[in-house]
Amino acid sequence: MLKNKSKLLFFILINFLQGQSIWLGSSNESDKNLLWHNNSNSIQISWEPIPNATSYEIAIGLSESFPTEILNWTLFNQQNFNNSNILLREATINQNFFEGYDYYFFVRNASNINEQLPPLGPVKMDFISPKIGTLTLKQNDEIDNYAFTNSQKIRVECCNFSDLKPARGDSSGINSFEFEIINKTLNQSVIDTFNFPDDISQCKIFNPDKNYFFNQNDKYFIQVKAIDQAGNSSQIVKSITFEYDDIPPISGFIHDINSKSTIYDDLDISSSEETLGAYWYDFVDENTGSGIKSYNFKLLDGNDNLIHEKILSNSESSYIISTEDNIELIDSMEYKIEIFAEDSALNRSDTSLSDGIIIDASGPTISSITPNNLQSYLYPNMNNIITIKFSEKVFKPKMEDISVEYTQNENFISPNFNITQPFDTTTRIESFELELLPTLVSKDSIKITINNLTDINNLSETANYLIPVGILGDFNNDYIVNEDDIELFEKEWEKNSINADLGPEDGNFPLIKSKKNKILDIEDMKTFYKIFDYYKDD
Amino acid sequence: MNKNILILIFFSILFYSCENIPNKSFNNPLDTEVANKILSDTTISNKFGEKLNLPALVFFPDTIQSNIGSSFEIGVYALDIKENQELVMCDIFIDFDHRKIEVDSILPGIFFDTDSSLGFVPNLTEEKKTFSNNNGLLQISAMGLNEGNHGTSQIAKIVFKVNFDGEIILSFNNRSKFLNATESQSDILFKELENINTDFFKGTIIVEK
Repeated sequence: MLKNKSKLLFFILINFLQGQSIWLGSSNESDKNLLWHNNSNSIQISWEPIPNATSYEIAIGLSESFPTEILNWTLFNQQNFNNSNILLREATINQNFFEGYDYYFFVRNASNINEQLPPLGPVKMDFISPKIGTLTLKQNDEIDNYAFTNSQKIRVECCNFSDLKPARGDSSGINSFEFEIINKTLNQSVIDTFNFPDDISQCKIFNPDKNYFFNQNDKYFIQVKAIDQAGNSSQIVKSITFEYDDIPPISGFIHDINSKSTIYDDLDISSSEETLGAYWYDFVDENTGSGIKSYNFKLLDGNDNLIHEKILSNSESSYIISTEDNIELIDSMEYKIEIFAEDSALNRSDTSLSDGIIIDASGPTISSITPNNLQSYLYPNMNNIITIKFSEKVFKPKMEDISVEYTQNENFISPNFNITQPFDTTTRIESFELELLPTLVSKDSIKITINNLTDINNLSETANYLIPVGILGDFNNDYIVNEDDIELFEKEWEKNSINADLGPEDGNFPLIKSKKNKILDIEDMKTFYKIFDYYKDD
Repeated sequence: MNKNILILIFFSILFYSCENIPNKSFNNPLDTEVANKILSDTTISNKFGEKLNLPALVFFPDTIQSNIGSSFEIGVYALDIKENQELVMCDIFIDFDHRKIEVDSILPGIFFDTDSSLGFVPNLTEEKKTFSNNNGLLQISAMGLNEGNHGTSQIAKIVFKVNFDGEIILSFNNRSKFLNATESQSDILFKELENINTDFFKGTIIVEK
């Protein structure tokens, strides 16, 4: 007996060093280390040849009695084993096997019973299939079990798959998962198998990727089964049916609106510093597509900083940012709104951008008054064209809303003026031109006041602006009358220009103006002489 | 040849070349020394028989011969402006027969320091047309932006074009005035110089056919 045990250990050692001499399955079985079996009525074994052996004897032992039991050797040949092939050294043994028991399989040379192969075993019997869990299609972290996808990659989350333990002995444990990707439309499928020799106590994500390519608008589903090491398959778990769609929606148009908007015309200016919004239209998904699922709304400031973002359902076509969101819009800042549509397959349309809306919470002001193409001073002796620019577009002021007056001299009546452009009070303008008629009081200042300056938000202000008058006789407009002006005076005279019509003057120095007698004579020289004398020490 | 003989021949030619023997008329209006001498001699008169007072406004040369279609130049001079009558401005009106001559241009003289930056006499040409030939009255305004000028010098010169033959008289209109300036507390007062002789010398242009 001790000798037999030593011999057995020797063969087992040989077995580990050289690989199995007896194995489960056919002679060309690739995995010769299987030690689990799931058929209670039959088992197939194969073995290595024993030199010079022409027939073999097989014995089966149970672990509980082996090696003390007396083995019941059975001659193995074609007559004994109808379904076996002696040349392949394969045998199919038909008998009842019991779950939870360990079996050993012995093979020896029938002609020389001392020539025995190391036994195979213990081979465990597991007839229980794995328990199924749940299967979830994953596209991203937000969406489970999507009905549409734009991804060629499948992510399947399997949870709580396990192999059940039989009443006696151990379970073999899950060995693999088999995923089948099925095209319902074309009735085709591909299978991808993952070795995963463990239970999934919680969840595991698989990415089956074997030989499939989703077709636009075809319908698919995934099914999975778990297979234990004994070869028992679980029931099949199916995913929901989904459709492939990688065509994004078409982007549409956006109107900037505010809380006062009722007809959703595009606004360029808003007086509200608290609310802003958008109306959008013409965002569409293709007829057979997954359909628009949501709109992504973004409010950006003039520096492209994100001020507010909102995901809106496909039933929305307008959105006003609530005052509860506490956005603080900055006066005079231009804001723009971006919207893209996303379909159910997560395809995004191009982003549409509004044309911008400027927050205008204050009334208009005069931003600049520029006489005669950027001169610093008004000409005292000629027509002056004054360009008046406003801080924003305003409705063109009426004549009666404009006043022009001197700031220093009260002896002269206020200057006469015209508005040079065609007068249309319904038009909004950023600037307009005022013509001051000659002559102006030298070295005085003009105060231009515009009442009821009204912007598109009906915010009205009174705006005024001061602008200095130059010096009569200062022909080069450097606010000094000196020798340089004599030569220019002479040239103006020689051109018979009314600009040289300085005298006789009216008023007292320095606040004088030309009486404009429309001839060039010694009176003009007298006035220039006085002006020159007055300013010669400056 | 003997030197004395040459001198004798020269003076003989000079004597016979004169149409008339010169009388005591004042033919050189710029000769202020003579003018002053004449001024004291009340018996002296110009070629029109008029007595001379200074200071005066005169033409020079006072007689010009020209032809139809040609131009001539005649100067307008201030004559012997006294030092205590510093002149800062003048306004000169000249009558002329616009049927026979027309003004072509007015060029600045030097009386008002027009070579400096303080003189002011507009340089007017026919193209600039600040004057009119239609009424036979020409106005010349001039100014100096200094303390004033005195003495004798040219104020301006006028270029005329001749259109018709005959004798043409240029004369100063009595609206002509010379001004000096005095400074009051807050203003400049221009004072017209009195007794400026504008009638004594007239310009005579003799145009031959």
